Amino acid sequence: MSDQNSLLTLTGVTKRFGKPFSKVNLLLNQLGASLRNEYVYAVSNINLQVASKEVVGLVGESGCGKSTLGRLAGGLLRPDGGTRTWRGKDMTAMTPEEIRGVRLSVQMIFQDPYASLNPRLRAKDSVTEAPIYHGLVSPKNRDEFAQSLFAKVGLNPEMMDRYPHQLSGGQRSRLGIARALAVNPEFLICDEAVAALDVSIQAQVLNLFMDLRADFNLTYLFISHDLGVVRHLTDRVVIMYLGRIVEEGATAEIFARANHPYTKALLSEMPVIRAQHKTFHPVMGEIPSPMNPPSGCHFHPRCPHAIKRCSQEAPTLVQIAPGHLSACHLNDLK
Amino acid sequence: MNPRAHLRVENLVTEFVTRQGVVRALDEISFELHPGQIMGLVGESGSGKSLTGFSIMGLLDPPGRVSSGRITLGGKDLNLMNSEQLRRIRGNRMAMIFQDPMMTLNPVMKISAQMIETIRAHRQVSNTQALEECLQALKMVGIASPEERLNAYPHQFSGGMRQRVAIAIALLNKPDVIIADEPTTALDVTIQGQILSVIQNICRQTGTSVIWITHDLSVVSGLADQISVMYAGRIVEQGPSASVLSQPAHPYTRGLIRSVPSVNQPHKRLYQIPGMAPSLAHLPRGCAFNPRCERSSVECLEKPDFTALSPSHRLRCVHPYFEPLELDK
Repeated sequence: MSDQNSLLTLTGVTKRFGKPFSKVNLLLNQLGASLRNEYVYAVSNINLQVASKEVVGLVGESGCGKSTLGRLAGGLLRPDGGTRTWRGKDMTAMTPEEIRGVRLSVQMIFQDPYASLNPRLRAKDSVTEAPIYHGLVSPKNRDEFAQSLFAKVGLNPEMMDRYPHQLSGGQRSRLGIARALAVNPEFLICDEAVAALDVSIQAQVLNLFMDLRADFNLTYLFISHDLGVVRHLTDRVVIMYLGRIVEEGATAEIFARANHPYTKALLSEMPVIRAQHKTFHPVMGEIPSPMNPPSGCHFHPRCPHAIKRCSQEAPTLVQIAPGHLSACHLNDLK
Repeated sequence: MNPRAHLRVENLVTEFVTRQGVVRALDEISFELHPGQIMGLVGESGSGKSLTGFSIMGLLDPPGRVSSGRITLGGKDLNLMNSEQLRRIRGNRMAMIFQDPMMTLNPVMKISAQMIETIRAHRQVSNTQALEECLQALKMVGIASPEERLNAYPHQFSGGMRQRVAIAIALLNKPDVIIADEPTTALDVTIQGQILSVIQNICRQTGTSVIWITHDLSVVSGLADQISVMYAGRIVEQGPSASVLSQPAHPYTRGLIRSVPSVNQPHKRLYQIPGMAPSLAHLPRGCAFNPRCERSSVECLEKPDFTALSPSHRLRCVHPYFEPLELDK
């Protein structure tokens, strides 16, 4: 993928969370104690490129840092290391005006629209607040503009004067999407946007995402733990485990020829409708705490194929086929 | 192993008395569960699947009540029992597991205390005997070093481990029936796989039967022996899993299966069931699915009775599909 084609690039991005050093600890350290900060590396040294008009899926289990990476990409969090570039331009070198432009171009859709919509704003006010503030729409045209947005996401215009609690789950989720679309974004980051919906409503929202992509040339970063949804919607998948990318590649390639043992485990556990009994042989063990991740490859304590080297040395992402990257020591043995 | 009792539910009707009138939340629910069987009870939110579980357990709160029908466990009618008799059955012959174990476990009691309490509520056993049984149950659900974990509090467990503890508690008195209400919905796929494997082994080994309540057809498809699909408080189709999934005959079941992304070709439009689920207070006349159904006709304005597709596969529809469902995958 060339750099000109890339819409958003994250290079070597790291995000850690932790308590800042207290003054007492600082003093103790100056006196010779060797106290260390307790940091959780939610995302460590990750490279992610999203090309224009591409749909990238970000997959992983709870605590793997996928939402943090989404928030970093969306600019809601500031990375502790690494750079973000938008259309090839480093964002730290941008003027405030340019940064505002990028912020409008990148919009997020969250899992629970009920929690992210202001309960005291009517539907039309929720969706028009941002474009009016940014001067994209004049307050006089509010109703007209809201109506056109509602049409885009398939909401009945009668809902314009309703409050979030008066809408059904599917309608609220459409309202969340309408709000993101209100500022003419190029790039949508969907963080588990369909996870809480019933199957029949989920189908409607997924169809809407596909229609919007076709109609407005949108680029998506689609964060989900649901592999079925990811396979259906995305062009490329990135699989994360405990803050690191373990495998990435074209969606069809990953689902056909997964390389990393973790990806294989995820795929074999993916619930699929089948008409016969299945005997479950799950991967053993828990997802380790990110506070105290295992040494070497983070997956080695649960990995059925782990060798000695896996506990000593962290594998790097290497290309194993065109566009298909995997971080596993076993590839060196082949 | 004692022979296990079997659960039979016949024409169960549950109603709520509200200001707007009587709302019928469950309408003539019938099924039979043999020892060691797993039944998947599938439906979308508001279809009454959890309510079925509560009605069987006798856990309905007013204004809800079971207004007619029979629920029998090993031939004994649960509706005729007084609250003391029911108490002896709940947690003993029948147990329930919920979606969020943090809500059902007592946060200020050690696991051991909660488990012993469950045993002693039903049987008089010594402390050492009870502890021994707790260890057995924890081992059965795959908790590592159970001796140490017995002294832990619920918040010291991860979500998956907590759900295992909840399952272990349900198993303590070797129940005939476990009702599991969306127990893996909040868990990650690898952890969900572990829980499904635990449940599968328990049913095979102990003959306990399970009602697995879920909104996700794909979760029960590999697990359940039978599937009952609910819509607006009624069972619309039920039968052996293989039969229901490969030859769904009710338009709603077909729609549910067709709208799952993993059975469709990537990037293709998913099938959408038109419209929205109705409110139970204003159910459409006749078949509750008729306003959303592509096959509906005048006959659908009359409430459909069960018709049999095969001796074990039946459904409530006057226009069933007879051909198998062709899926892309």
